[in-house]
Amino acid sequence: MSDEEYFEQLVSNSLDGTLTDSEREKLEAHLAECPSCAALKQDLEQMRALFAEEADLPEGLHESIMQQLEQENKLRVVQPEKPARRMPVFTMVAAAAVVVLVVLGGGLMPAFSTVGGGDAGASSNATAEGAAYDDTGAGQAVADAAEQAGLAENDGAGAEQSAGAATDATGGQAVQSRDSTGTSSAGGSTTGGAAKAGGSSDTNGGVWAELQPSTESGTDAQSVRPNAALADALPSLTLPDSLRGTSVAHCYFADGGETVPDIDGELVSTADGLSWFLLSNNMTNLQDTLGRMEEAGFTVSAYEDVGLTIDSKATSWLLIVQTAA
Amino acid sequence: MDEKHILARARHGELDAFEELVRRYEKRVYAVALRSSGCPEDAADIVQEVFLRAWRSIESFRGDSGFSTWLFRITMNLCVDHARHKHTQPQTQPIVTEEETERPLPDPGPTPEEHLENSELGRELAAALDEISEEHRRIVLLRDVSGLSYTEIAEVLEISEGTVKSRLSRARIALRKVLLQRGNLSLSAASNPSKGGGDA
Repeated sequence: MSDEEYFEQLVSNSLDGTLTDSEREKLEAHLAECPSCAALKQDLEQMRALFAEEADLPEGLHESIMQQLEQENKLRVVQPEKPARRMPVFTMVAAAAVVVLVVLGGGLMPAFSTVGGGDAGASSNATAEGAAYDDTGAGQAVADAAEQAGLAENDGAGAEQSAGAATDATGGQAVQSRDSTGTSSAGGSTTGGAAKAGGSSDTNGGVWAELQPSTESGTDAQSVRPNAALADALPSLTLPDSLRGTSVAHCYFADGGETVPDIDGELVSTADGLSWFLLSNNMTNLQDTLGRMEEAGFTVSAYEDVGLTIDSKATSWLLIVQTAA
Repeated sequence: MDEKHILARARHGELDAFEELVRRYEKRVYAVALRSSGCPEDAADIVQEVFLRAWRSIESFRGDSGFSTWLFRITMNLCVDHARHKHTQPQTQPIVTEEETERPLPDPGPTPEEHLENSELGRELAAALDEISEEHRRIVLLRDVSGLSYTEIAEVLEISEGTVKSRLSRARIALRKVLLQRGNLSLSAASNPSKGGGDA
């Protein structure tokens, strides 16, 4: 380090109050005879003041943050009356007047759409989980997968493993969906997502990996667990062809109501008694829509095992609504 | 209540406890997002996303580093994502790398006083930050906006404290040069050409 660089660094450190007594004395002596460094110090202090100017939190932002978290929290809670619905899925779907409002986030995550383009291990894990679902025929396997994902995190096995395990659970759901509904392309797409999350962790490694799945790839591994736990309560649905390969920011399933309120979104498909809606992904739209559904007597739950890629950066979200028979 | 206990409760899913963490950090997270994006609306979106992701992941937060370190790592990643996304949109002025900072001075434009009107300040700082490298932008935001200590910055960026000191110094000097060129510093541009921001 040259003398110039040395004193520049001392000037910078002096802003943060981290100089030793000896360094401070040296710097003061230098500043007395070096106008250039004195000017630098003055400018850096001014810059620091500019950055330090108070940025008041916008009014209502705190409430908005908490409202969003409460909504998220509500979706984490497994509602006790729901598990019984898992078994009669097909009968129910056939017999009931079913309206599925699906709001799809339209943004396609290129990496996610690379079907099967990733780690073979991830794919086979997903398949194994899928087989487990078939064996038990119920949501318990989903819960097991979710629990495994949780254990992988808690035993200190590392962020990479936890991300992999959690996304495997997603893959498992996708496979289950494929096995029961034949939407194989959707399952493949989600598996690709798992591979991407793993790859991203590998690349970055270390502490960064802890966050890569959610921040870099847009796949939030953590959000999978609560939804996996919920999955046993919800019916399996066949993804319309028109929605295959689509990424959505969120997918919600609403049922229990009779009259569907106005939905500010595109009706993508109505088939087999299901209507699929794609809505613009913004918090206002999401909250307003889900709020109206609840006001209309619907119970809204996260539904992320429909075989679509859930990508928080997608531009649309999907809402599935089932009216009471 | 001490943060450790609040964290323990939040990790068990107590939203009330997490709200206390939100209260403690939301202003600083917002400040970083605002300085980074230059747009209050974008900053609010970033803050919402930061706390949503933190809440979703809180159970897996292992406490190897401090909560603030963890939270600001999420914040920095989202700010960087936002900046990258913004850069894919049409630009009104070129973004340059630090290797290109020897370009001619831009038109003088508004006076420093005009620039420093409060309504402009955020955008100007964000625009200046856009012109330094991502590495430098991160460290300036972490120190001068979020107020993290050298130790915390070293944890967030996974570098040594010695590197924090030297990188921070180079980052500030690079930013100073941009601000001088943009007319946002009213002091010593003419008197101090040699310290204008050459970045080692």
